[in-house]
Amino acid sequence: MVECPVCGVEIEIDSVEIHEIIECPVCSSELEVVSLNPIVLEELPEVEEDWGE
Amino acid sequence: MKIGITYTIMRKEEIMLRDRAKEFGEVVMLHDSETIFPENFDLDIVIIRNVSHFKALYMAKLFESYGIPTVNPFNIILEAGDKLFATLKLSKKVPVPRWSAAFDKKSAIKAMERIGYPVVMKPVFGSWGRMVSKINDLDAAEGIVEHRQWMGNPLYKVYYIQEYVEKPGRDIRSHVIGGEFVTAIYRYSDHWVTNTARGGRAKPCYDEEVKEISVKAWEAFGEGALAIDIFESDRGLLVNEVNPAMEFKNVVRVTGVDVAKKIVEYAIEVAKK
Repeated sequence: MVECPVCGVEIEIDSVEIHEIIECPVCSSELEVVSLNPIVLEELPEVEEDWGE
Repeated sequence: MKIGITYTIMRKEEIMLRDRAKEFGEVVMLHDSETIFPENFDLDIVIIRNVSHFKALYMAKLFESYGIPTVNPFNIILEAGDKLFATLKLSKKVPVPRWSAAFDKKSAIKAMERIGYPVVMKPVFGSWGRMVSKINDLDAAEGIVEHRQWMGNPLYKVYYIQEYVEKPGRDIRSHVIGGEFVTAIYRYSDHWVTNTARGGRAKPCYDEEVKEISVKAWEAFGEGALAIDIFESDRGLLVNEVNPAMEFKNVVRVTGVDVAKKIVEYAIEVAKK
């Protein structure tokens, strides 16, 4: 179980990759996996002005 | 074969690319936070997937400077990634919406009047429909230009203006990789901006004319993996813009085409040249 850094709910995570983006099932915040051992989540940074395709 | 993949965030696209690339050899994931130059990179090819246009551009240049080819290459990211540069290339090969460029508050207004309202003004860089503005009259034009004047980035003072093209509630996104047409989708939206990143719905598009114009648009650049945005207009198909850092999860979902595999196969081909 990992705590959502936005709403604080405990999220169950099976398998994730480093820098993968997941969505909090409760507050719908987009979260980035910034560490695997232990799993640490951070809120996805704001979209920057040159992001995209 | 050693394949590098630069990235910022691990989207579904990067996971698909990584998994496909593993079928061809060793994969080295190069996150923004861990990639430092100069470095003795032992790589045969690098697939550039940074979500930031400018990071992608500089990474491609750096890897190329070490003799490591990149997909997309620096020149393609530079010219396809800038909407005005891309228009210059495209207009030699395919029909594009009428456009104008200006570099000053007054000339920007004149440029819009030359095309005739409504017009669309968009930053020359960026994506996902960000800051793309439909301008219906002089009052709106003056407001948008005034805002642009106060924005810090000097690229916002490059005023790139297009005619507003009336669309049938959808546009078309196609993918051409290494000159080969891969797939296309319709993007439906009730809003005039149809990006799936902004909630547009996707359906497969099977149309020979789309295929032909897509390949021609790619030929304007002559290499790389490009996503091409096409409008259906009363003048026929018009190529709106191209994208050198394609997202494709929605395309895979609705067409079943393995776009990641096509990109990786193309990258391997480039590496072997």
